[in-house]
Amino acid sequence: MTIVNLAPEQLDAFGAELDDLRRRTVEDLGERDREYLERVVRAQRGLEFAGRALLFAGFLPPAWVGGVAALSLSKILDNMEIGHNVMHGQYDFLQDPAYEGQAFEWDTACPGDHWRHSHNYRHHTFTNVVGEDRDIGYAVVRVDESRPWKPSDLGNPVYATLLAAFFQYGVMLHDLEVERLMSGQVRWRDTAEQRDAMARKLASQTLKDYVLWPVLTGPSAPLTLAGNAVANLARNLWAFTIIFCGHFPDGVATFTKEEAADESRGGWYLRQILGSANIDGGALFHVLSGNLSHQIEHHLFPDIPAHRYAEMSVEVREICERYGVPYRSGGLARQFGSVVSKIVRFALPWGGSSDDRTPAPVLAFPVGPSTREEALAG
Amino acid sequence: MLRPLVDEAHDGPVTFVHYGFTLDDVCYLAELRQLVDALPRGRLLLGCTDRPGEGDLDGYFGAEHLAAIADDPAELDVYLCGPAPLMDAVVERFDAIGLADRVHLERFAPLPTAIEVGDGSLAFTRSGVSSPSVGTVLETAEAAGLTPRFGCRRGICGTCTSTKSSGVVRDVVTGVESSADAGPIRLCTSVARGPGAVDL
Repeated sequence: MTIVNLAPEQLDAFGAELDDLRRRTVEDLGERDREYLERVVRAQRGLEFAGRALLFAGFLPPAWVGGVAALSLSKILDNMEIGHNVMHGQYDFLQDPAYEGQAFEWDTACPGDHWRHSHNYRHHTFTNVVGEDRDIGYAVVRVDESRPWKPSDLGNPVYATLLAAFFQYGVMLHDLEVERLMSGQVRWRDTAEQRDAMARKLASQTLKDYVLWPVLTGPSAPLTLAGNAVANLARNLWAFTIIFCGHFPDGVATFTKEEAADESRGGWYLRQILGSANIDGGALFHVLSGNLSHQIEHHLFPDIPAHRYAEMSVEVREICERYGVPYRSGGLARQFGSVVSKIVRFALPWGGSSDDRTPAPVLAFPVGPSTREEALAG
Repeated sequence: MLRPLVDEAHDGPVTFVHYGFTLDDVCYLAELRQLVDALPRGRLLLGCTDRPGEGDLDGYFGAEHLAAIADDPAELDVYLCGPAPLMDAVVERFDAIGLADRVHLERFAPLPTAIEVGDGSLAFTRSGVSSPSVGTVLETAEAAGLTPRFGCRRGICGTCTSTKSSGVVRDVVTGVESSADAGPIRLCTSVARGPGAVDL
């Protein structure tokens, strides 16, 4: 078992080193980041144009396959490297209304505002805190021992597969907190505004992918509809894979509300690192994952442009090593294999206690008192 | 304290004792019952000081109450928080039976010293309100009667990001000072360093 043994003063020093890395990176933001974002946006638009255009010739098998591939990549880039990151406010510093975090809208069923609440606020503030972070198994899949086993968990692998296939709809429904509606903690009629926003976004997405573009291609309409469905499916499976590899491989820790209460800046950083895992890969892989393959750096610095994470990770890793903080990273096959094995294991009542897994690290000290007052005073 | 025990599926004996004037004064009673029920060996004892018979324990804490809580007090670890007279009574009782070291208590500390906010002042341009700085920009806006959107209130989520049209602010988390140019700021972690204006 890994025990992370950082006294409050060490935790403060650890936090200060990460703050320093943050400050140096923020000072360096500028033209290079604008150029990068514009390059990715150009690539995404090119792919979308090519995909939609090729599907006009969808009766020719190579055109159909090419069109679907281009459209899948376009949606992946739009959702992950552009949408997710811009909506974090990573490019707010550009002061360009086209890339304003609070206003950006993306090519998926979930309305941007709902995502900003469930993801930017809930998931990033309360990362891996049981009972606060609803991204732990997306409240559907059992991936943590803190959730007592019940017979319906036998369906765990089925639920996970369905969630993966229909991920954009799962993400759309996520902020509605269905389990709290069922238990009566939230009243159905209080969700009217939220449901309206979902219905509007769902209608426009459905109209675009399953009515408008198919009809435009005339006789190829059924083939275009099928192509668009496959592109959405490909994006769903890819996003699910990357996101589940970010927090659920073995060895990633979850926390109780008590452990995370009143944590210091260093304590918050530490929780982000222990609660996340990276995926190793090449440059193209990182772009297609929206740089969420650098999940650890993303959780430390959610508002810094994600294409910077690769260079920041060198320093983060070195800092972690010096402080004895485990930094989890592995290839896609290994990380995803670990996630799949966990989903299958946790379907069973005794599933959490397998010996061959890497246990999550344990804190020797709580993450420390809040230094907010001191910070304000300083 | 109960929530983490439930989250951790704690299976040891837990007796939760809560005092109120009447049952109606017990905050979150339904939630309390739910949490205790979720513990396999959880037990809830409610003490009503003003209405005998309404709860499980009548009147104020004393030797009889302790007997109702546990057969053998030596097996207890007590986690105590509440009004000073209640805490004193419990501590006294455990002192008398030689078990003072079993009581872990938390007294509400006095408020921390006042936040130093400098001499900043803010104009909120959209609403036409101005106010001296009383804390972060978010706190100042709220004190001035505005209701900006917010989320984490600690500089993570970006929900409160708004445009500062002029002035210098310091980020209280990172200590970094902004330039005087217009730009986006997080209201919840920015403190004005002089006169400034925000689009709110």
